[in-house]
Parts: sequence; C-alpha cells; structure tokens
Amino acid sequence: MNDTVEERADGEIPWKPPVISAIAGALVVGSLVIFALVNGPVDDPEADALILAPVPSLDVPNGYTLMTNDGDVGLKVESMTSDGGSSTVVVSSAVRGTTEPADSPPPDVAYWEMQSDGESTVMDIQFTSESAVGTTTIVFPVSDAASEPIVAAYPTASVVSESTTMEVGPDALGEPIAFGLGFEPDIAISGELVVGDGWGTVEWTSPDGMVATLDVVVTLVGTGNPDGVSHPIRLVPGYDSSLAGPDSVIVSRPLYGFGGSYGLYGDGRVIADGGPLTSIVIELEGTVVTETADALVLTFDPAGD
Amino acid sequence: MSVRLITLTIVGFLLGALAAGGVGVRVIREVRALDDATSLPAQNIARDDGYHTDPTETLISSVALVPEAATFGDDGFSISYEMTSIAPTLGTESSQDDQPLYPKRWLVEALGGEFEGIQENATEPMAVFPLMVGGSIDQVDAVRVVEAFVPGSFETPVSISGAAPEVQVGSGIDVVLIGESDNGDATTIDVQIVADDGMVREVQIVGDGPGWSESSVSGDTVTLTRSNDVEAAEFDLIVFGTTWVVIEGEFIVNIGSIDE
Repeated sequence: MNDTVEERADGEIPWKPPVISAIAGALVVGSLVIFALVNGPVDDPEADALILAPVPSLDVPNGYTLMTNDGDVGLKVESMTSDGGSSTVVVSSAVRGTTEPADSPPPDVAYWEMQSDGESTVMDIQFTSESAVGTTTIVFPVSDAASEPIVAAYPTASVVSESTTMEVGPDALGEPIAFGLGFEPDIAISGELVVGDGWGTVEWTSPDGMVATLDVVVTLVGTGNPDGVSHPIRLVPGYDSSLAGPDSVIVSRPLYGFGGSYGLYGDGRVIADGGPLTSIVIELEGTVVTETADALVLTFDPAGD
Repeated sequence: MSVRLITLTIVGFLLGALAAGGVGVRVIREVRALDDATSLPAQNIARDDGYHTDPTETLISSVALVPEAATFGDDGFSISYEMTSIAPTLGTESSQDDQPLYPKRWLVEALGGEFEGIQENATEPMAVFPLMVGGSIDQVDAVRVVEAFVPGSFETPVSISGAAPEVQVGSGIDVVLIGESDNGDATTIDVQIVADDGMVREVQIVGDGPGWSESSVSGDTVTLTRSNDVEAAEFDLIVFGTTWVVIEGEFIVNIGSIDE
C-alpha cells in the first residue's frame, strides 16, 4: 500500500477516506434510529389533545355518554315530557362492556340542568327507586320544554360530610326546632324540624345554593319501657332500613338536592306507652358537594337513533 | 487533502447515512406495527365487539335482549327472549326479578308481509303475533320492537278526605279512601291503590306533613295512622312508585340466537 499517493496522483479514486466516512455516517444515523426505537415517538401536545377529545367509543353501547367522574358508566336521555308547570326527564345508565353491573355504583350526579330554547334551568328534584332499575327521574321547572332539549349532568367530584348532635328539652315537643350544620369555611345546611309524639318532619335548605343530602334521626329519651326491655322511641326517615318490617312502606333514599323535606317515622309507639320524655336527641348528618366534574351534555333524540 | 478527496468523503458520509436511515425507517415501522397489533388504545380496553351478554343480543336502553325461541303454529307466531340489565347497581337493593324493560309492541317482516305482535304484560317475556300463521325462522326477514318502556320513578303529593275519597294521581293510578277509624289518640285510614292497565309497576303511599306514623301495605291497600294532635279534615299523602315510561325509537332485534 505504499504506492497510494502515487495512485492518487495519476487520477485513481482514493477509496479509503470516503468508505470510512460512509461507515461513520451509517453509524451516526443508525444510532439515532436505535435512540428513537428505545425512547418511542416524541410527545406531541397537539396529538395528545386529539386523543383526549371526546370521541365515540365502540364499547359504549347504544348512544350512551360516559360519566366524567366514572368512566365505566354512561348516561342516556330516554324520555322527556312536559306537563303543567314542569318537565320530567328520564335518564338511563349503563356500564361498559367488561364492567360487571353489580360491581359498579349508580351514576353520582350532583345536579342537572336543562337547556331549552336558549334558556338554562336547574332541576327542582332528582329521584330514583329500587324498582326503577337503572333510571333516574329529573323534574325541571320548565312548563313547555323544546322538543329536543339538551340536558347537562354535573357529576360530583368531591364532597364533605359533617355530623352533629343536638339535645333539647321535653318542652320542645311539637314546636319548631331550628338547626344548622356548618362546613368550613362557610357552606351550611340549615332547616327546621318538628318532633311530635311518635312522628317528626324535617325541612332543610342550603343557603349557599349547594347540593347536599341530610339524614336526621331523633331519639325520644326516657320513653323506653321502664323495665328496660324496650328502647326509647326512635324516629327515622322513611328510607331507613330499620323501618323494614314485613309490611313497612320504605321510600327511596333522596339523591342530592338544593333542599328537601320528609317525614320521620316511629314504630307506632307513643310516649304514653313507656316512661316520661326527658329530652329529645337529634342526630344530623349532612353531605355537601363541594366540587363537580365537567358537565356531561346529553341530547334527547326523539327518533331514538 | 485535495478538494476532490473532501468531496468524496462528504458524499461517502451522506450515502452511508441515507442507507442506514432507509433501513432504520423500515425497522421503526415494523416495530410500531407490532406494537399496534399487541396493545389496543386505552379507550378500547373493554370488549371491542361491544356485546355484554351474547353476540346476538339487541341493546334497548340499558338492557341486553336475546331471543331464545320462536314458535310457529296455527294460532300464530311467538318469540320468547331473555333480558339482562347492564345498569350499574352496586349498593342498591334492586331485585333480579324486576323486569328492566317492557318491549310491548313488535313487528315481524315475513312471508311477504308485516305482522304486528304484542307482549301482553311486562312480566312475561314473550311477544305473540296472532295473525302470522305457519312459516319458519328462515322466512323471517326482520323483527323489530316498535314500542318499548323503561321503569321511571314518580312522586306525587295528594290530599284525600271523606268528602273527596278518590283522587287521580296520573299515569293511570287512582287512590281511594276506603276506611277511616278514630281510636282517640290517632286516626287510621285505609287507602286503596287502583292501577289496572298493566303500565304501573309499583305504587306506595306515605303520609306527608306532621303527625304520621309508619305506614304498612297489604295487597293493594295501604294503612296509615295520623296523630289526632293534627287537626285537619284532609289527609295529605305522597304517592310514589314506578310506572313504565315509553322510550322513543324502533329497535331491530337480532334473531341470530334462535334455533328452529
């Protein structure tokens, strides 16, 4: 190989440097290819946005829209009727393909809104019952809704619960008793209850316009049988399972609302059946929705397509 | 180093890079294709075939309906089916015996014509087409549910009294005061629920307002007691329960599960 310089001098191609250079180029690009394979594609925020945008999913059947606080449950408006001064919407819920229905809780919706003819109206009440499998009924104060209204569900994102116990004297029997339940910093449930001889009524509201539920249990202290065999009279809401005698009428537990009223029921005993009333103990437990998830917009398709 | 040598070195580098790049792109495509084939996108981790109980199911509202059998005879054609609710029920006391759907009116296209069918009541999962006589499943071109109902809850306050003992609640439900007795401390009333058109699933009654004790039910009659501390001629009640609510649309029924 000592004659290389002479060979170049007489016009032959100098192969060695270009070949080394070609190998070097291949090595550089090959390294980049291996780097790309190991690290995957470059993150593209725009592409991510497209993936996260709501798209129809094959495994959500039959026109259901997935909840924003529970991706295994979808909602669909099934019926809308207007009657008198209100409109009633029935919404059904369904689970995704691989979800076991018995393992998934019913939709947790703080409140609903109807958009009809450019107006938004918040629900009066939402309710369901054990015999209405998978449906929720929502009543709006809309006398004549558009034929194809838009219904927005606001799923719960976070809640706070608070409980307290009040005790009042026997002279409060039959008189209105005001109560309040505070949540830091300023969310509250307030209301009034009346405790009678074996019965009670509750009315509550949220001054801050928050949606909530309120459970109330009243004990008429001293009214048990003097021999200690029977407990004092307890008054519980109509949905309390302790009422569940063989023939008892049990109502459904209220869903979240801006207020409510209901009866408190006893077991039929009155104060004269036992010892004298010495005090009235009132147990209050409230749950307030402090944050809702993104709204779920449902359209009503009268054609059922 | 001559200009020629520098040029040849640069050309050699580029040729090497291009060759490696071409092979690299091919390798990347192969690897990504393999990845796509073995891992589905996140939103498709559930069954990608979409069914919940059977490949031949028909989804109506949140209910998977699967026809079981078809019967052809001189007294008509009938289809029986099974239903499975896919509504989430964790924490509820819903009963498996509760029918989640009432597909009331059906239509069959067969033998060159259309035949109407009906399911007489919500609890018997069978549609009967009395005018379709003879034939076989092979001659059935299409089956559709043309009127279906889902259960919907209601709550209605009413007032009832001896002077006005009957109140229409709506949805085909009447409540009738059939008995009233005063035992000194309290008054007990018996209220009968009249709902006879098959479209009412469950009706119950509780007292509304002060004075009411727990109510109990026996057959179609609810017994309620109100303290005589409350002086009112009328009895305020809340009638609540579940009726069948019509849903819009027609639903083509998959009959692939029927073996003749």
